[in-house]
Amino acid sequence: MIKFLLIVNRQGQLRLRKYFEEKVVTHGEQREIIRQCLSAVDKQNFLVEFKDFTVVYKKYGNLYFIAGITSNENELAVLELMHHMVETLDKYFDRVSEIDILYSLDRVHMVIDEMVVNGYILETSQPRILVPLQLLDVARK
Amino acid sequence: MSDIVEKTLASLPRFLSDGLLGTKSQQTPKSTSTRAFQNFMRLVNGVKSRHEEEQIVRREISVLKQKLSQPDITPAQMCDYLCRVLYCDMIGYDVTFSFIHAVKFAQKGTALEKRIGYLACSLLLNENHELILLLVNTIQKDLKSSNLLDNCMALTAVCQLLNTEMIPMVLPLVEEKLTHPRELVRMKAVMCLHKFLLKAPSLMHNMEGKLHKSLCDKDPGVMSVSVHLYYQLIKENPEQYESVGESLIHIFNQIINRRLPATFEYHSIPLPWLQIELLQCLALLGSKSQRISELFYPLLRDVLARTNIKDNIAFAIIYESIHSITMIQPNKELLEEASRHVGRFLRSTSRHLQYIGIKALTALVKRGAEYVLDYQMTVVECLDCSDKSTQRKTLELLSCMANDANVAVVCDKLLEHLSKSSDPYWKSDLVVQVADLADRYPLLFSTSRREWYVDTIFDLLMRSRGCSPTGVVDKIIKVIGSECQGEDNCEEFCHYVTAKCLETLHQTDLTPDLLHIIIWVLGEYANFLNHLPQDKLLKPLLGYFVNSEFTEEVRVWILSAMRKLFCAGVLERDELVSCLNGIGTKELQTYTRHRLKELIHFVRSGIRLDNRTRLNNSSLQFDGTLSFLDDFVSEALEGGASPYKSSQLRYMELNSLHKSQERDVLSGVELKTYSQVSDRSSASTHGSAGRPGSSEGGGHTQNAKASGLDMTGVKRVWSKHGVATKEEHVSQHKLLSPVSRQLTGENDDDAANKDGQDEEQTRKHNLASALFQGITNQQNQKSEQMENKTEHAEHQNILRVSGTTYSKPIISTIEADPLPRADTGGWRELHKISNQNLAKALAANESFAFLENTSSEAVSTNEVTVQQLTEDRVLFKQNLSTEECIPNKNDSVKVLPNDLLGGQSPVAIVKDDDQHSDPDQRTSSQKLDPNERSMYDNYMEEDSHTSDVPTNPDSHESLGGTSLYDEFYSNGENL
Repeated sequence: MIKFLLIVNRQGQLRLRKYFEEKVVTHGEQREIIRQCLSAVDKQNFLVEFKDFTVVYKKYGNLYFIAGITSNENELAVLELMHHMVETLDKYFDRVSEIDILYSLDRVHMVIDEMVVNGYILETSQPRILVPLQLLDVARK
Repeated sequence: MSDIVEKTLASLPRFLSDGLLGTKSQQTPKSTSTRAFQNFMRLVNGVKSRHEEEQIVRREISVLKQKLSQPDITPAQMCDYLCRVLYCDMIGYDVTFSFIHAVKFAQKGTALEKRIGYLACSLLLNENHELILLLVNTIQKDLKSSNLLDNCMALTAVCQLLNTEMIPMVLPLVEEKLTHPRELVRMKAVMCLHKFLLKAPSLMHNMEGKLHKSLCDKDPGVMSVSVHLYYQLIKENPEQYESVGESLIHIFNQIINRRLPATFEYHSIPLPWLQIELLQCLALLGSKSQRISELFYPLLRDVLARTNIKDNIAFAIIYESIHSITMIQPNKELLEEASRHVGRFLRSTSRHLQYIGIKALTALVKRGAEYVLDYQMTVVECLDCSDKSTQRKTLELLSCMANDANVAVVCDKLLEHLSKSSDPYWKSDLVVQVADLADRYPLLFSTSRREWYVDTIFDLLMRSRGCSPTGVVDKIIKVIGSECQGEDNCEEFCHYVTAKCLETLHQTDLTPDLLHIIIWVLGEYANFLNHLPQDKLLKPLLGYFVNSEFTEEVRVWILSAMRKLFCAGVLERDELVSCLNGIGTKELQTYTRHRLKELIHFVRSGIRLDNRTRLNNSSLQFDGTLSFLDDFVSEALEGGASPYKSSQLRYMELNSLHKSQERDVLSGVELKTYSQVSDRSSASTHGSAGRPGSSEGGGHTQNAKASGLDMTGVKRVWSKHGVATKEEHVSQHKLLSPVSRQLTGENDDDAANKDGQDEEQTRKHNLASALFQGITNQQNQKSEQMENKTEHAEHQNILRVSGTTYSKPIISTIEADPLPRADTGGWRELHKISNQNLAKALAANESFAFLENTSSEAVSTNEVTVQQLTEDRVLFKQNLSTEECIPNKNDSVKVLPNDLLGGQSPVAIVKDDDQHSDPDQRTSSQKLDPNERSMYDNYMEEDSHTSDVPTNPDSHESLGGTSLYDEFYSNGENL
C-alpha cells in the first residue's frame, strides 16, 4: 500500500502532498524525508528506509516525486506508478511543468484521485484516468 | 473594489517575473488559477526565510478569512479561495476556519465546483471530524443522482472521507452502484467496498456473490479493482478462498495472452500492476494449496520467459514472480529458473536491479541456502555498497542465511553495522535480529557457545544505545537463567557470566538495558561472588543508584539485587546499612523510597534467606521424599506408630471410618477408634508439613536451612507412596569437560589479522568464505566432502608443522567436538597459515619422509588443500578482472601432488592461476549468454522520461463531449 505521496522541487518546497492514511507522518518527519531524498549524492539512489516504511523517489527535471510505501509493496512497481503519473499529467497538461503543478493544484489532486485511492491503485489505463476530468472541463464550458 | 486592486497588484509581479519563470509564463489552457492565486504563490516561493514566509501566509490567511465570510461569493471565486486554503494547509498552516466553507461548497456546487468542494473536504478534514456528518446527506443525494459525474464524485468521497460508523448509511447505495451500466461507476463502487472491508470487515459478510460478480466483470478496470478486495480476503484466510484461485489464474492467462485492449497497456505490458497483485494473491493461495501451486507453475514459467522487455516495470513483475516461486509449494525447475534471474539482477550495474536482486535472493534463501553460493562475492560487495538501502537488504539476507557455522560472523557483521548506524528504527530492528539469531543458534550445551552468546548480547546492548525494543531484555534474562540451570557445565558458565558482568559493571557508559541484565545476574548468582571485596561491588551499585541518568526502575532493580547479595553474604550488614542510610532520599520517588527503607529494615534485622543451596549445586534437587526425617520416622515406627498412608488411602479409610463410626454410635461409644484417628491425624500433619517442599522448591530449602537441616547425603527411604524402593542417589556432579576457549581466542586472532591486512579484496574473500560456510549445495555434495577432508588435512598439517606427534585420538576428539568446525573465519586463517607452512616445508624438501610415510589418503587430502588454496586465488583474480564472479568449485585448478613433490613453490601455483582467471577458460556452463548480459547491462536509467513521452495530438480534439466516454465504454463492451 502507498502511504503518502509528495511532490517537491529541488529547493525542498512542497508542491503536492497527499496522505493516503491519516497522520502517517508528522510535519517534522516529512521534512526529514524530503531532506534525505534531496540530499542523496548518488544519482542512482532511489529509495530511503524511514521508520517502518520504505520511501521511493524519482527525479523529473526540477521535481522530486516521493512515495512512502509499506514494506510488502513492490518498490519498482511504485516507482513505475509514479512515472505513469508523470506521463498522465503530461498528457493532461500537454507537457507538464512545475508551474502547472503549482498553479493547478486542484487538477493534479483530481488526476491522482483517479489513479490511486486510499493507497491502492484504482485505474492505470491513461485515457480512462482522464475521462472524468475531461468531462468536468467540458461541463464547465 | 478589492478585486480591482488585487488584479492590478497581481499584474505587476507577473511582468517582473516573466523572465524568471522562463518562457512558459503563458498559461496552459486548462490552468484554473486566478492572478491573485498566482501572485500569492510567487510571493511564498520567493521568500528568503521562514519568518518571511510566515508573515506572508498569515496575511493571506486573514484576507481569506475575511473573504470567505462575505455573503455573496461567486463559485469561481470560491474555487480560487479554496485552492489558496489548500496550499496554506499543505505548507503547514492552520486553516480550521475554512472547513465549514469547504463543506458548504460541496453541498451546493455543481460539477467542477462540487468536485473542488469534495476535494477540499478530503484534504482538510480527517475522517473523524464532526463536519463530515454534514456531508453524509450530500453524498447520499449524489449517489442517488442520475448524473455519472455526481456518482463518481460521491463514491470517491465515500472512499476518502467516511469513517466506520457512517458506512452503514451509504452501504446499500454503494451496493446498488455495483450494477451501474457505466464501468467507471462500478469500478469506484468496488473501491468503496475495498475500503469498507478494511474498515469494517463484519459488514462485508454476505457479499460473496457480488464480489465474485465484479471479479468476473467484463470490464478489466472493475476486475482489477476487485482483485484488491480478494487480495485482502485471501490474506486473512487463504484456505477459504482457494476456489478463487482458478478465476485468478484465468484472469492472469487473459492478461499475458494480451486479450485486453491496448489502452490497458503500459510501456507495452498489459496491466502490469494488476499482474503484480495477481502474483501476490496466487502466492498466498499457492503457499497453502498444492493444487493451486500446480496450476500456477506454467503461468510463472510463461512470465519468466518474457524477458525481452527492458523496463523497470518488467523487472518488477519478474521480481514478483520470483517471490511467488519461493512462496508456493516448491518446484525445483522453477526455483532454478528463479535463481538464474536473480543472477542477472545481481550482475546488473543498475542500482534498482541490484537492490531487488538482493531482495529476491533473500526470498530464495528461505527455500534453500544453497542458492546463495553462486553469488558470494556480489553479496559481500553489496555489504560495502554505498547505498544504505541495499546494505540493509544485504544484512537481512545474511540473517536469513545464518546457520550453525556462520552465525558468529553474521552477528559480527550485524553488530558492526549497528554501531555505524544512526537510525533508531533500523537499530532496534537490528537488535531484534541479532538477539533472535543469537537465540536461535546459540547454546547446544557447549560452554563456548554459551559464552559467545553472552559476549554477543553484551556487545549488542552496549552498541544499541537504548534502541532495543521492549521484551528483548526479558527474553535475554530468560535465556541466561535457563542456561545457568542447565544440565552440564552450568557452574562454569555461571562463573563466566558473573565475571563478565562484574567486569562490565565497572565500565563507565552502560545502557539501562545492559545494567538491568548485569544487576539481575549479580543478584541471582550472588553466591559466585563470595570472595569479592566489599567495596568492589557496593560502590558501583551505589553509584548507579544515585546516578540521575537512570530511571526509578533501575533503582528498584538495584535495591533488589542488593538484598539478594546481602542474603548471599556478599555484602556485610553494617557497611550496607551505613551506605544505604547515606543515600539522600529527597529526589527519589515514593515507591523507591519505600523500597529503600524496607531494605534497610531488612538488613538491620539480619535475616539471611540463603539462596545458596539452590544454586551452589549445578544439580538443582529437592528432597521430595523427606529423607531427613527417616531417623525420626523409624523411631516412631519402632515406638508403635502406624505407618504413613497416602492421602487417597486415608480418605478411603476415613470414609469407611465414618460409616463404622455411625455404626458404632448405634452400638455404643468406643474409645479405641478415637485414638486411632488421632494417631493418623498426627501422622498426616507430618506429611503435610513436609509437603510444601515438593511443590515449592525455594521455600522448602529455605525452611530446611533455617531449621538447620542438611539434606545432602541423606538416604531416600520415603516416597509419596510410602517406603520407597532403594534408589541410587545419583550424583549429578558431572565432570566438567575440557573447556575449549578456542572460539573466543580465534576471534581475537581474526580481529588482529583483519587489522593487519591491507588488501581490501583479501578481506572480502575472507569474509565471503566465513559467511558462506556451512551452506552446502546438494549437487555439490562431493565438494562438501572434499572440504571436510580439507579440514581434516588442516588438522594434520597443524599438528605436523607445529611439531606435535600425530595421534589418532586427538583428531577424533576434534571431530567429535560440537563446536562449529569453522568459525569466525579463524579456521580460514589457520588454514592459510598451515598451507603456507606446508608449502615452505615442501620447498625445503623437508617433508618427503612424512609424505612417503603417510597413507595415500593423506596425499589426497593435501591435494585438496592446495586445490582449495588455489581456488581462493582464482576467485580473487576473477574478482579483480571482472565485476561478476561466480565461484564454482568445479572449475578450480587441480594441482597434483606430483607437482608439489617436484618442489614447485607457491609462486608457480599463482602463475597457473593467471591463466585460469582468463574468463574464456571458464567452463561453458558458467559462461553467460552474451545476449542475456547485454540486455541487462544495456539497461539505462532514463531520467528524462517526461520529455520522451509522445504527447497525443488528438487529446484536444477528443474533448468533444460525452462521446469520448462512450467510446471507452464501447471498448469495454468489445471484451
